[in-house]
Order: sequence, then C-alpha cells, then structure tokens
Amino acid sequence: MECKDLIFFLSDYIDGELNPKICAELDQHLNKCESCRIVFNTFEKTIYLFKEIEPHKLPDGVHNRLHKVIKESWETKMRIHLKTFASNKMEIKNKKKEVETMSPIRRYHPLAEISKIEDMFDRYLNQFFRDFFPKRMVRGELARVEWTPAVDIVDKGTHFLLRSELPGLKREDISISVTTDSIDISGETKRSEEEKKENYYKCERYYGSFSRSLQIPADVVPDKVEASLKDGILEVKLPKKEVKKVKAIDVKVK
Amino acid sequence: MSRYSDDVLVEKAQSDDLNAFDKLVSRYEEKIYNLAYRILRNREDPEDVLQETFISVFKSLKKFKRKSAFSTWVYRIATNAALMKLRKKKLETVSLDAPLKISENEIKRETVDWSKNPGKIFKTQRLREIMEQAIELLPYHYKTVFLLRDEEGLSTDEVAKVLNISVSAVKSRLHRARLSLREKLTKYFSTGSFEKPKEV
Repeated sequence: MECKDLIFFLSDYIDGELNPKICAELDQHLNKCESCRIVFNTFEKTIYLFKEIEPHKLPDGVHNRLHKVIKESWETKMRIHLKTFASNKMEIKNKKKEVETMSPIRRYHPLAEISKIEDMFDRYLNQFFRDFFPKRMVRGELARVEWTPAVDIVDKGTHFLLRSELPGLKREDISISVTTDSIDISGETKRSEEEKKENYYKCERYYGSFSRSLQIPADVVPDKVEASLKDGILEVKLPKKEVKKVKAIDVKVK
Repeated sequence: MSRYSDDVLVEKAQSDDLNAFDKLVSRYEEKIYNLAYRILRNREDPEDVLQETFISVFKSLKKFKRKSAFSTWVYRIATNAALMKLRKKKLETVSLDAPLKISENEIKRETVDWSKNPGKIFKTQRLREIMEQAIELLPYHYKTVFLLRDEEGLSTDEVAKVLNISVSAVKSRLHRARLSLREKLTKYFSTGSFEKPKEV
C-alpha cells in the first residue's frame, strides 16, 4: 500500500466498512509511515469534532408556533372528518376554510408531486397486471399496489361533472373534499363480518382504503358542489366560478 | 409516552392521536431545524422549512406505509423542502452537483498532528465558528450527505434512502466532504488563521 491509496480508504477504514485484507495492509502502512499517521489522526479527529458540534437550540417561540400550526391543521381535518353524509344528497366537505387558515404555511411540496407521478405509474402498472394476469401471478410490490377508482371528468359548460366507479360502496364509506381547483375522493371498501368468515376459493376483490386527488381544470365554487351515489357510480357536480363579463359600453364620439 | 418507539407513535398518530403526533414532532423538530439551518446557509428562515416539513408529514401521514423508518421519511421531506427553497431563490449560483475540489490524489507531507493538541483548543468558540463556516461552504450534495451521516448519525443505507441516491454515491460524497473539512481544519491549526476560502 502506498500513501495515495490510504487517503482513498480512510472513510471506509474509520467506519469499519473496509475488507479485512486491505484493513490489515492499511494498519501496516500506518505503523511505518509517520505522515499518513498524521493524516489518519487528523481525519479521525475531524469527524469526531464535527460529530460533537452542539446543535442549535430551537429559538424562542419556534416550538410553540410549530405545534400551534399542527394543532390547527389537525382540528381542521377533524372537523371535516366528523361530518357524515346525512341525506341522499351527499354533503361535500369544503376545504376552503382550511386553505384560508393555512395559507401562510401552504407551499409547494415537492414530495406531493413525486407521489402523484408514482400514483400514476402505480395505477397504470396495476391496471396492466390486473388485466393480463390473474391475481395470484402478481407478486411482490405490484400485488400490494392499491386499488384506485376510475374517474371521468366532463365539461358541461357551466359546471364539470365528475363520474367515478365506486362499486359496492355506501355513502358513509366515501369522503370527498373540494377546493377551488382540486378534488379528493377517498374511502374504504370493507368486507362484512359474514364475508370475513367465509371459506374463500378465490379472492380477488380489493378491500381497504383508497384515495384519488384530481386537479380540476378551472376554478369551481366548493360551496355549491353536489354529489350523489347511485348504482355504484358517484356523480359530483362542480359548478364553475362565474367570470364576470365586462359590459360593453358604447361611447359616442362627439 | 416518550418511551414509545417511532413506530408505535406513528401508528397512534395514524389513528388520529394528536398527542402521539406531537410527540413525534417534538422528537424531530430540533434535528430538522438544525438540518435546515445548515442547508440554507442562513439565507432563508429554517423555521419555514420546519413548518413545511411537518405539515407535509401530517398531511401524508395516512399514506405513510412504514416501509421505511419514520425518521428516514421525515428527513427526506425536510431535505426536499430545503432544496426547493434554495432552488426557488436561485441562490446557488453554480450547479448543485459542482464537484468538491480536494487534493485526493496528492497527499501532502503532513507535519502538524493537530489532533494531539490539548483538549481545550477544540472547545473554543472560534473553532466552532470555523467548523460551521466550513460546513456552510460545502456544495449542497456533499453537505446533505455529511449532515445526515455524520451530524444526524444516520447509517449509509438510510442516507441513501433519504436522498434517493446509491450507497456508493453516499460513501464517496461523504468521504470527499470529510477530506475537505479536514483540510480546512488543518489549515486553521497550522497557520492559526482561517482565510475564508473561495466558494466552490
């Protein structure tokens, strides 16, 4: 081993990740080379010193502000969560308030974007594998990919109409929240107690939670959104925000 | 409740236990604050990143499948949030991938073994400032690896997961960051001064 090799292996040596043979050679070299020993000592000391740097204490108020923000988000979520679908006309959870209270800290979240893309791939792949292979053949990651409901969105002029296939779901199993430009549909498909006890010969249906978040192409009015569920199809009417038309005024030129 | 593992708290938080979520936040808030503080180089308020990180965690909590450790997931969200801040402000004037210039191949004949200096020399405020400045000057990709691995004490595998890079990339960046920091300290101890090096 030469001096220039030593520097290459230093980190692995200190982290204990070097293979024993090279490790022994390095030990040998360190024993006889004063200069390398200094490099090693100072390198090790550097790591030690940096590890020992005292972390900055949270400045005053940071802890309280953080926990306050979290509490607020939590409460908003709970308020939405506790509402249930009362009548045939489904109640839409309006996320508008949440947006207002949280606007100071709502910012672009890079991970949300990544997970959207992931969801998209998962969905396509999952669909592909479901279509082409019986479930038992799908192993590993893909078999665990969740089910997501298929969705159509139609532009009806004054409103958008969203249709989604939610077979076997009851109103109370579905939760919808709408902002001015997005809609989240989530819920859970459950196996009944009786079904759970049954002796399965084939078991392909999906049970568990699902969710879909969709962007709406133009601004809508969350307060006026209506939804209904019939024969396993969810229909959500999303009225568009009216764009005030400016009246044309005739101006006479004298 | 603090004796509970992250996993237990995550499970409780996922079933709408705010108290459990608060505990998790308290467990990581200082770490995330420090990480953000160092990544942002004092140019942005780390508190913003701190809040964004945990709101993001809160919002995606139900989707978190516990395939990786909670800490890994939180660090990942935090480093991304911090990076977005830097990108938005376009404060990095060079590519974030700028290589770290260190003399890996030409090892100088070392004459000063400052590691044997008396202990109190290492405890001065001046040295601390120098070390912080040295971290600050590391290019982004080296800094994040170094901070997560040596400062936060994550394993090589965990760092790789957090940053979504290969284990060998973690190792090589970490090594280069450490070498660069050693050079800076050596310079400080051998000349007794520390010139602010030109930013790489």
